[in-house]
Amino acid sequence: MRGVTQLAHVALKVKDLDRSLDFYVNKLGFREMMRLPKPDNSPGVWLVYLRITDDQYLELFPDGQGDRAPGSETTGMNHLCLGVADIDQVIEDLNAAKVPLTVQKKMAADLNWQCWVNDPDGNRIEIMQLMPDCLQLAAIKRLKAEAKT
Amino acid sequence: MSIFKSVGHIALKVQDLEKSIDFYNRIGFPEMLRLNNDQGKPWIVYHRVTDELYLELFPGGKGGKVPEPERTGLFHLCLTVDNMDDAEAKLKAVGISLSQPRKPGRGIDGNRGMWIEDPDGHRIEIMEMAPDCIQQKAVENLAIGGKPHVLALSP
Repeated sequence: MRGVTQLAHVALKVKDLDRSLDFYVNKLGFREMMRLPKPDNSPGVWLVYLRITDDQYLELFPDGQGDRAPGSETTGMNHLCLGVADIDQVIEDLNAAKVPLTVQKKMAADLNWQCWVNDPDGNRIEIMQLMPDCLQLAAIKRLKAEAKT
Repeated sequence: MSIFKSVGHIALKVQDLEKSIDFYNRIGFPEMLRLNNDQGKPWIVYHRVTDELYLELFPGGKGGKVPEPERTGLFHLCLTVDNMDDAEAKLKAVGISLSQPRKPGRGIDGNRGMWIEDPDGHRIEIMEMAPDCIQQKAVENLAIGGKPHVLALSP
């Protein structure tokens, strides 16, 4: 299938909406775009949209069942990764916002800098500064070359 | 000023790596890279969504299919397309059917949508966003310093 233009959003089911909004808006800096009430007009919020970029959003749906997101070995989402331009700057901002790193900054096997945080539900979030000579960009270059031949 | 540039990748723990690789290759996200562990077995297989956004598949998912939609955690992923009808035809051509019948017309947000599932049951929304959709308006509003929109919609 061709024609996919973008990953438009990632939708998380969250246990405590206010707690998640505090994390994603006040600490990580994503701005709230809009919120929608429940379609059947029952009380409460159906979902809140946060802006990651102008065409990538995070959707938060309240009333998640279970206290924590499934563990890293469970079939399902293992983690979400956010790209950054300057990981040291980001770590300073995270420190200032009192978001603890669950894995400290390190150079990973793919030749990129990474560190990790958890969201309030325990969803694992990788923070990555993609380096010019990393394995992923070399692979993308190869795919492009193959597409031309 | 946001701290982050964009989503870099989504990593999925999958039960049957070959099946998942086949699925994501078929929907147009080619395998681009694999990293093997010290036993020479796949550790991470990367698929390209865009030049800057990848899907990472990790083998060895435990516990059967993905958790139910109401469970705290990933609810769904959404991919955008330029044309819903073309996308549905292309999916059909590669043997992937919709996981629920497509609703006629537009969703309550003004966009057209449909759903598929990957081999582990990950819910994938496919969306053709209307140029003047509520999401676009909300983003434009933020750009000029506006407050978040609160909308009342009826199905």
